[in-house]
Amino acid sequence: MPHRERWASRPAFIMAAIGSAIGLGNLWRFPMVAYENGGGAFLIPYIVALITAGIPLMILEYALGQHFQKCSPGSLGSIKPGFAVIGWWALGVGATISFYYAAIMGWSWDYLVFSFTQPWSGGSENAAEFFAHVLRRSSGPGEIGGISWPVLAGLAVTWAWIYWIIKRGVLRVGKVVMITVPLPALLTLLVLIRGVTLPGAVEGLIHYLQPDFSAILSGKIWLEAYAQVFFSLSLGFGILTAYASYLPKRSDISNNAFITSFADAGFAYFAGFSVFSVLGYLAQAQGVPISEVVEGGPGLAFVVYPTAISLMPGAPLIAAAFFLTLLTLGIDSAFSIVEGVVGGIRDKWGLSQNATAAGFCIFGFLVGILFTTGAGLYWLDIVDHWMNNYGLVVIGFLECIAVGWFYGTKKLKDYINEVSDFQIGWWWDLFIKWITPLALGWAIVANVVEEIKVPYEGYPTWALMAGGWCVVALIIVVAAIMTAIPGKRVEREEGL
Amino acid sequence: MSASAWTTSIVVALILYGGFAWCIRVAVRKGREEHDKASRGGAGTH
Repeated sequence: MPHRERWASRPAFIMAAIGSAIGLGNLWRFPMVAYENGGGAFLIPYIVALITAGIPLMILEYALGQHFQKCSPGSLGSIKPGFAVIGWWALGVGATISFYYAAIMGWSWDYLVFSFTQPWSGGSENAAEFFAHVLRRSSGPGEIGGISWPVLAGLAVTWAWIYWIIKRGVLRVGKVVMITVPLPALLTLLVLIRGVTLPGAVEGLIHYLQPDFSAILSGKIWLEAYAQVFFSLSLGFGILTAYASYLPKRSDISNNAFITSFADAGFAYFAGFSVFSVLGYLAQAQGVPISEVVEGGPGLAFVVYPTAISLMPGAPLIAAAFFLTLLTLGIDSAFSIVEGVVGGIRDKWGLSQNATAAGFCIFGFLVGILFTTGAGLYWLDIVDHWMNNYGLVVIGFLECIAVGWFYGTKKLKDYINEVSDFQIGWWWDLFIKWITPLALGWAIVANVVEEIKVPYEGYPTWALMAGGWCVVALIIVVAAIMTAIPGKRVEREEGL
Repeated sequence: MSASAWTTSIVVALILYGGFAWCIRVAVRKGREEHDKASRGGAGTH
């Protein structure tokens, strides 16, 4: 077997995996999902989902990469050659997500620069108008509009940053994450300390944590919990398999998975305190109920937060700290997705890391230009919805089937227990064969039913077809082509 | 905040941060054992 590059140390791998898992969603998704689904009561299904789906699937993805010493397509193709298509599908979904994720980071660059002049100050409406102005937002997905040059510049800087980090492979990644993983945690702590000292903060925290236990009886809350765990842990992208493939075969698996999962969930929980203390302050400052200022996703980061920060003493510094937090949270996830794709392509054709990274980053930048146009936000929203619901979840489901029903959980479990700090028991077989695929299968069916009943966010059907189903179909076709075409000689001899 | 909010928050924090700390402790202990084994002439694997 040809020489495979290695992580410099176990902490480097763990930090990289934690950095990949902790992303923008921990800050702008988890707190809102918790708030809308029973507050503190949501934490119960969330922890159940973490234990019954998140951690078992993470152990599986780590084990595949480390055991077969290959990225996602190669590892799944080692179980059965046709299963490589699942791996390529995962990388295709990851690549698509990286195209718009980099655009969101482009917005963050722009807002970091604007932090010092605070052009959004003057209330929520001003901030919303300013956001639309920066994006040159058009009236809908059908009106592409012009390119936003500041966002394009931010996109270029983001891709250049990603390329610089991954061009030397995991050795440089291991060094970068020693800064980019602890830094956003420290900055979030800084914003939290500022937030809880403001009037109204306690009211915000009460809204975040006050449990409504009756919500637990609703199927929706459980669906949301499984979805949140799944999206947050970087499962289904092929990232974890790629990262684990750079570990020696005798490295720990189960404890690394527990550490990564607890760190990710712990950060999300902690970020909720920061977010809701600031929302509580904003509601009090504007004299409105919290429900009127609560918003998730980009609206939270680029409208609500800037509005709240502009009302605080020392606003420029706090705004800069916040947008630097977004950038450092996002970059680890962004380059891990790209590294997963680059690793898969490099494994297949034996190309150099530098050339593959450069080629993919240029391609990613060019595709990402769509998201810098006036209609970019609409397309981003549509593509994101489909990638999450019909990309990642389906891949997770298929991974469970491939390992649980074709490779055999016992065989993989024996290997995991041979190398790990602590043993996993019968529960892992049960989750991988039954519980996790059933939970994910339920999520897929529920999403399809919802899609049929109500068009997503009221977008026109043609836009949902083009940005949703057509993108999903295109990725599957590309994955099938990548599986069918021959790779380098070593791979062909191994029957992949 | 109500008693139920406090209880849920504390239990969740104990599970997440306690679980994280315990796993790190196990990893550090195993790392030390490997290191000691390697320095005594054995082959470390982790």
